[in-house]
Amino acid sequence: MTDSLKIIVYKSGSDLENGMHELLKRLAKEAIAARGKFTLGVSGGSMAKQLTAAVPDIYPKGQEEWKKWHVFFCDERIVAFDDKESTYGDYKKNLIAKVPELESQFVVIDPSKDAENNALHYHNQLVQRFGNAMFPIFDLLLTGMGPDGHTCSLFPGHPLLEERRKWVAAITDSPKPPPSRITLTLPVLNHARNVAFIVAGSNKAEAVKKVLEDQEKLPSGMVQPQSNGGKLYWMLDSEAASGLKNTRTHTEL
Amino acid sequence: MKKQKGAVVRMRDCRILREGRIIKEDLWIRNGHIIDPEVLFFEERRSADISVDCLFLIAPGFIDIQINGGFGVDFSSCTEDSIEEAIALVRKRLVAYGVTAFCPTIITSSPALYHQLLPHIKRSEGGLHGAEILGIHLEGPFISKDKKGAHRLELVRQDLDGGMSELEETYGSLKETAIITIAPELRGCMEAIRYLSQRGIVVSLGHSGADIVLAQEAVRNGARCMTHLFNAMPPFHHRDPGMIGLIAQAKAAPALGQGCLKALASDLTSASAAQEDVVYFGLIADGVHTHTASLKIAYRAHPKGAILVTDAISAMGMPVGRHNLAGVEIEVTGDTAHIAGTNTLCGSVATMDRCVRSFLTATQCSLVEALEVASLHPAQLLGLDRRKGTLAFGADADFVVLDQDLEVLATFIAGQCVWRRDEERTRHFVSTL
Repeated sequence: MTDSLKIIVYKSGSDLENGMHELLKRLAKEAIAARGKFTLGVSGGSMAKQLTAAVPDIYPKGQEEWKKWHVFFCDERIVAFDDKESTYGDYKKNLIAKVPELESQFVVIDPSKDAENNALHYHNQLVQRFGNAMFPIFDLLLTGMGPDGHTCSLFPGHPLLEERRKWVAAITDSPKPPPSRITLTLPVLNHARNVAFIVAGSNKAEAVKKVLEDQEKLPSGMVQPQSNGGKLYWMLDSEAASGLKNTRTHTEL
Repeated sequence: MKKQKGAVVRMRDCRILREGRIIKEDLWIRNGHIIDPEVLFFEERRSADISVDCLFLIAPGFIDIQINGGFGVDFSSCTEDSIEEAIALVRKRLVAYGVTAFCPTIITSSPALYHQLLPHIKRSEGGLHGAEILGIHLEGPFISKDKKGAHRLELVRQDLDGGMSELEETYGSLKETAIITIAPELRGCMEAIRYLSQRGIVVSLGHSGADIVLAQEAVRNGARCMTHLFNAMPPFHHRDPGMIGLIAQAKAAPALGQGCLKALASDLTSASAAQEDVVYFGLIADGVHTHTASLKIAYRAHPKGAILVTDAISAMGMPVGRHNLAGVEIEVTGDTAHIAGTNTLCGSVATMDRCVRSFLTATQCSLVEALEVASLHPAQLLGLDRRKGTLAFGADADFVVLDQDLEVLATFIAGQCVWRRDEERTRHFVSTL
């Protein structure tokens, strides 16, 4: 393992959240100093609650830089924002409720459009912010992993894993409901400056072992930003890491 | 007899460039075109409504086929919200330098950018709002990464394996594209050259490491021009002349398919079939990019193929200092522009009229030749020489009034004075209709 890949195992869920806080704080500071803004991609599931714990304390009172954050979705479900499956809906109820300044910083889908049109719409929003580049270069993409090894809405064996040019793809046959989503593509994940997998729970242990130790070809294992000079973090709790026997891990960032 | 609309304007007492000579002859204009006064008289028994004492030299308006921006704007750095304004600014300011028509140039960029910008750059006639837009010049991204010059490496493409669909995926619609600069050695590019020239798009070889054999093959496949000869290509060697050796060839052999200059629109026909075979080459005559000796040698080897380009960047027309060109920091010092902190030239700040003067001095060619390389030849390359780059009867009345030092005194587009130097001697060049 080199500097560009780091696997950190946290004793508890709250330790993991502290780790996320630390990582976000550091990377946001670096990005804002270097480029005047921090581009962040977030995912659904338990991440919304984790970020609600990890994010608000990043800035001491009166020194907020929230308006320099630009928050995107690594993937999003094509449903209305008040639907329980809406990732944005989740963030609105949790993180944005605690940090209202972030509401205007989220880049969202258009629930009135279908998946294909949303992919284009989201792509255009990315182009507006990332400009003239082969791929957008995110400061940090936070993603999770399913027990099947999927990440974002990139599922095992799905043709989207072959996509080399598009930034945002539509998927209408997602094996995990709801079926209609958009997702960032592998090239975008692999061009990020930093990618962090946030994985907790014993039901993930087998997939973690398959990806990190057995080098099985699963979508999560295909995320390798190191190949473009980026950094990859796997931030696990001890249950998710329980299957790892032969892999060097750290206890902190 | 039905009286035709439009005032007849007669420019008198001037010398004009017509049919390869400078002659003392009046220039007659009506409805934006140059007309034959004899035909006017015999058919309509009409004479001039407005006479203008010109006293100077009238030449066809200059045509710049490679210009990245100017006056503080860079086309390749625009977004879809800013590109139209940028084009409007540049076309309006260019006329002060004698340019009456041009090809906005976009350098190597991402597909995201091409899809954003190209739909907003359309061919458009000139007038009081500025010079005519003849079509887009796409310089890249299918070029050699070793000859990229100031283009961004991460946006340079490795190959064109995907053929026609990859061209479309990359650029979007090529409807408004007049010229593409491409490197023939990239895998898939030779086929693309054939396809593009058959579509009526001028293919120009540049930013390439191709040797003369490959360059000749590219010409057989329809390439008809070289982008800024000498720059971003292998240097001339007497046993291996590289692309530069094409100037010795001067003409192409008959193309494999249809001649590339058989463009689609009916008015885009070349004045003579022989023109179709000429291999042209762009020259940046700013006194910096090309040594005067090189200009002279290239010109003398193949005078009919020389085309003056400015390859101007955003800093043209701006004061000395730092500017941004498609994400790259550029340092401007008087006559030159370099990538900040290096010796790499990245486009010039010379205006077209200055290039014409420099070219005349460097090559010691005739006045006619110096003017034709900036007007007639680019028009021929684009297959537009029936109406542009010429003062022949029927041509668009786009012309420039020059004094004996070849300084621009006034610029006319479609018979209207769109710019004049603020001096006593140009007072009478008011807007004509």
